[in-house]
Amino acid sequence: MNDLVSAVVRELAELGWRGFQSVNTRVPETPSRSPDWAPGPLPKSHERTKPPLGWPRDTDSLCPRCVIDTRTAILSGERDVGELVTGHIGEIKAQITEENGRLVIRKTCREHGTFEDLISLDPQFSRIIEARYPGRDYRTLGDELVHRHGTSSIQYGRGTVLTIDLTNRCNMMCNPCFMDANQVGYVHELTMDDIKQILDASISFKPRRQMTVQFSGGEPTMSPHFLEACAYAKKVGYFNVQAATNGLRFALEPEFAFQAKEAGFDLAYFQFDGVSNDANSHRHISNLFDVKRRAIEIMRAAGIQILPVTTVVNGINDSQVGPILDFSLANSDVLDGVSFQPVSFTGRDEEVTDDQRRARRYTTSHLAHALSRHTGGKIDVYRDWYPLGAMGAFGALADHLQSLHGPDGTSFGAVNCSCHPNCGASVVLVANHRTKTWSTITQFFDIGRFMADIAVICDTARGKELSLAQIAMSFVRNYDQSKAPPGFTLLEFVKLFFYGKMRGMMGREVKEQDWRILWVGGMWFQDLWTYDFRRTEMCVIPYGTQEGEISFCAYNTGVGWRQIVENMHTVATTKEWFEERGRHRVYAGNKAVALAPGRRLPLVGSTNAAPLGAYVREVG
Amino acid sequence: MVQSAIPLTGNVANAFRTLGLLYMRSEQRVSRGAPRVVLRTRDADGWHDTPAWRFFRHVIRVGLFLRERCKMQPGDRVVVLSPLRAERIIAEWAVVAQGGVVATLDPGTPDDVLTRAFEHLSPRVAFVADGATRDRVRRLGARVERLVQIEGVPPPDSQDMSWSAMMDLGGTLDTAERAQAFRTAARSVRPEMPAIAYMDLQSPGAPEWKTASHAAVVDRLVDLWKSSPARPGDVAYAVDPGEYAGLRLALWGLIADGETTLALGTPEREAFEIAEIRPNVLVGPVESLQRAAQPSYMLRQAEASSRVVQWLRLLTSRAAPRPRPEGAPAPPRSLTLEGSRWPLTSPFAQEVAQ
Repeated sequence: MNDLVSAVVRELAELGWRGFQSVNTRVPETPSRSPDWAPGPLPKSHERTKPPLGWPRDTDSLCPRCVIDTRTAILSGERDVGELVTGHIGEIKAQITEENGRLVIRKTCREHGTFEDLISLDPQFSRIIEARYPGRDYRTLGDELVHRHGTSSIQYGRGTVLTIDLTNRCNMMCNPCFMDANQVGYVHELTMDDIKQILDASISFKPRRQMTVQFSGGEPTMSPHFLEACAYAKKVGYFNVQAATNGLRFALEPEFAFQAKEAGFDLAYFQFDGVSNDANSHRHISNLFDVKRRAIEIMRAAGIQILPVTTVVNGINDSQVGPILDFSLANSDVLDGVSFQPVSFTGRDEEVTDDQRRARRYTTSHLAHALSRHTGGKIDVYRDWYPLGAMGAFGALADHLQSLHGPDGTSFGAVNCSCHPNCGASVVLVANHRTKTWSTITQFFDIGRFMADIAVICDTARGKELSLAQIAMSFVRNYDQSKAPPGFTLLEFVKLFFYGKMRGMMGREVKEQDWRILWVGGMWFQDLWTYDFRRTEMCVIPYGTQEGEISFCAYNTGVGWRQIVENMHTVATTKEWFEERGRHRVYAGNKAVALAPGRRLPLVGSTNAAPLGAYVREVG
Repeated sequence: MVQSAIPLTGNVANAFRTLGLLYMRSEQRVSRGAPRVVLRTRDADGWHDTPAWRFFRHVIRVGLFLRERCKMQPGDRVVVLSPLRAERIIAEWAVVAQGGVVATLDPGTPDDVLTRAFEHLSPRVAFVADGATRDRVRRLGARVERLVQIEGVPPPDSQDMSWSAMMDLGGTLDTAERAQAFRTAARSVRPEMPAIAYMDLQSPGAPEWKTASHAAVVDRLVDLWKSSPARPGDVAYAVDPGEYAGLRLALWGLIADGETTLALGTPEREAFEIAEIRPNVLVGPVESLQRAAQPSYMLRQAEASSRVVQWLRLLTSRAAPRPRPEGAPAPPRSLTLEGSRWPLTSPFAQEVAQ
């Protein structure tokens, strides 16, 4: 009966939408408003540009050997760092082509020969992801002092997450490690003044946007300024404060978690490699999973959100992808999904051999197929995955709605992730943290058509009432109750969407509900073999450094700005640091971390409908 | 620390008979409650808040500096020679939480008294207000292993350290393992161990130094809390208690009660500041409060409403010091004033006021 009513309502909404649009699309578009935070009028969908997509295509890339040689020469003082800004060091052309049912990138350096690597093992998947990309955001304006890194400069977008490395010190000794923490022989650590300057600079130009800041490292909680940095970021307007953390600090010192939350810390971007101690053994702590569970329990008690982050390496921990999804679903009251990061060969891994690299390469397409297999097709490779940049459509809607408030609207633009479609893709789930029921949203909601509807709503840019009416009609016409998970209704979805995600994108408080939206993403960072400057110039997760904002991949790999910036701003050698300030504890050597006795909160409650996969039944 | 739902009673207090345990209980309770401002201080730019997380973290960092770099052991003396300010309270808590004995002195203490104090106490560390105070301590030849200068920076050739440098180092020392070691040390302090050293102003002749144990100090605080439990949203305004140990303890009680925000007053600007923040608890030597309550002063300097002036006058007139016999030593004319709860029946308040 409910399905019948829902179908009737849906048809009525369909008729209403079509009827309304038959008039709306014939009336000239209302000019977009120009909010104070933006460099110009809000872009219409047809004004958004796209990078070259499809294949075969040419792009600009890097020679892995030339780059390493040049970087070494710069660090030794033989070459000037200015060449990175004015020149095209190590740059070569690359071709992205489909061969034998795979997408590959191939490039030839006159000096070092040909390099080839895998982009995707499923061209159809990649084609769909690229087709679903809605287009770039603004070009940046007034950012000359922030984005000044030559061909590596960010040129588009408003950024989504600003990463700031507070310190290169770490209390673990992992492999892989982006930054070769503890091993480089020097300490690069920001002062509080540095941190303030970076945070201030990042919101100094247009578009001035709702931005998340993610403190990273090293282990950011080892910085003496971590709590103050959280507090300052909140004070100057960052709407979400995160830290990429291994969680040891929280597991070992519960009060720190509560104090961090009080200081403004919102979300732990939580290193999480697998659901057993064995699956974490490559991190060289024998009971690391136990430590992770303790950290989760403590952060949950402190009210800190947690997004597990898993670096996936083929043949190392790719078998954990499914169990980690199960783990996230089983703990959907505290975990916000999971971020899988297919391996990027940087830092200590830049010296990887060709054979090792081929064997360990893992791409977003690997992830999509692995999750499909694990869930028996419940997460569909072709229906459910959207590029990370698809979020830009929802950002545009949030901007449009905010702009309707006129001069009283927000002084920040909405969160808008508009990165290159090759940078990653994600699936959005709804999960009930009490019943453990879950589903992909795309199973019962036509996101593709909803995004197209959003484009119409934003392009025609009618007033508040008409815009809201269109959103309501679109929402209902794209929702199919018959395919929704048991217990999930249109009303629940509206609450989730508007009290959850859209409020979050506007920087407002998100209300707690039984049903939660979980984000399962694959963020595929570049390395020297897969490097594509078209991706770099659209980066939305820049590093904030003492030398300006640098694309994530240009910093960690690419020409290697990380080593250069850290060398320019080294505060001490590691030896000097230890002598003057004391040695910090490093947990390594496959030893266990001693955990104080404490309550062992169950990570899995009684479930009416357990998620797929075996692991969740073992944990409880 | 007191939470409104779980008032601090004598029974609860018996469970933590040392200031170290009190510190930990306060830290836990405050951290798990709603965000709270512990201290407010004012400078030319206005009031600055010290939220609970920052206060407790700073205490840990100072404590780690004392433990790791100054090798402070339980029973070691630490002198704090500073007017009332946030750093002084943080230093005091750090010392007592680790089992040290804190002796707080007013920078206006005469040279001879100060010299005798350092001779008597032989402190391991001294926190001094500023460069002038540091120079004075050095000039007097005070025996102290380490000086920390709260305001300003000591000359680079000296062995002394600035507060900011100490906090910077303390921040680096502040790892999970060391912070937990700080708490372990706080747990190991025994109730009968001395917590504070203070000058007995009632002793004839030169003031004598006495100590009070952790248990005795906690008892005083419990008296205060029992007689006037803190309520959510309480704001206390403190005028520098000078040499009065009882008043200094009252400040600790307000810090640790779990509800109160303690605003530290600026000498000669009390009326202005009271009018600004409208506290419901006043703490300070009565003569200071009386001065602040002069109607002309209030109206002129603070533009306070007549209601505030009346309220202050009422408070201070009832709390006027008793006349003392000629030739008798000056009593500790200090007082805690509970603005919202007349009459002053707190045993704690009565004792310090007599």
